[in-house]
Amino acid sequence: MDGGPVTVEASAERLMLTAQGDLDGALASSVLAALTRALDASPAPVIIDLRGVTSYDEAGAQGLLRAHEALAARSRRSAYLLDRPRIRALVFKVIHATQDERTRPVATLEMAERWLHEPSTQSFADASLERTRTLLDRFRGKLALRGATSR
Amino acid sequence: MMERPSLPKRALARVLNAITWVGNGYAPPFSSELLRSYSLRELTRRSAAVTELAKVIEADLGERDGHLLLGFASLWNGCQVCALGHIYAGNLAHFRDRGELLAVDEQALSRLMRVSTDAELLEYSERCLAGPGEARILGLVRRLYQIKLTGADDGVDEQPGDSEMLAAAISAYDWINHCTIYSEGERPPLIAFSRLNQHFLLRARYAAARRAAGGPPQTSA
Repeated sequence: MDGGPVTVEASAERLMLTAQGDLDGALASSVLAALTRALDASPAPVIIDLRGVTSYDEAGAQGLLRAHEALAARSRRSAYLLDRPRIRALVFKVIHATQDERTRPVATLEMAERWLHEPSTQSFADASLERTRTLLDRFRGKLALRGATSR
Repeated sequence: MMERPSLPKRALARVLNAITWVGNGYAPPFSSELLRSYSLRELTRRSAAVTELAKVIEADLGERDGHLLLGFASLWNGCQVCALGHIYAGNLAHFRDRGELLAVDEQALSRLMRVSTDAELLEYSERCLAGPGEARILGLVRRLYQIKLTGADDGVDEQPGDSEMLAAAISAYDWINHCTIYSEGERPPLIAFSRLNQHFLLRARYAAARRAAGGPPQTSA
């Protein structure tokens, strides 16, 4: 860890990359360089913490896409830790562009850990859709019960 | 960030949009992006699940609150098209039924989505829904936030089925928001995701009321 705008903490369980500031081309290049080094050094799954990133430009978006392509090329499971809708939208775009099924955005470290060690290999999108269907059926069941009780 | 979808896919998207316009009253601007990811059959299967969920939620909560909830389910994903499209639809329903504006202004939300944290966006939403008669939707939005972003939900349903409804809405937009397609600097079209999108007079009156209330000018597709 070098204390700069991009830091990496490595353990046996995970790599944690943290970036701070506005995501422009320079910061994205630092993310790519740090991530590539970390991926080469460890087989652990990855958490990319972008809670310190407040904004981005097109060069930053392209750079993050390249960094994620490096991650996806290694078939590494990952999670993006985020606390801003704007940055979450960017990550959704990156996921869509790379079609990486092993990653997802999360809001807490606990959610990230759960996803990284999830035994299912189902993509976040597919798992979400399946969950929607199951929950919709359950919701319908409760509505029917509610209707029967109120009659 | 991405190449345009192929010409056949864009053509197919136009056909799908025409069908959706006739059937639902609006044409989503991201059909060609969805076709990049999915076959027509798979897209139809997936879209049907979201459409069905929206119908059931609307039947339970009513038109206005159903759309507001769907909008908030998408809001924290940063998707300006889905979040604002449903909140705009809820606002139009409120304006049509009560002749007044709801405090949740989709144009203000659009700006806040670009600069705010999740928590700041919740604070704005809570302020907007603090009025009398808004307790039900306010409670649902707060729980939705808890479930989606904090993992600290108390699990207590005001009405049986609330937990399932909220979790289903969150999951639905967690797969579809992969298509938040707009680049920096692009202004996504504001499309009401309901039949009210075709009520041009209502939309014009609503836009005039927002302008009179001091909001920025409306631009909608």
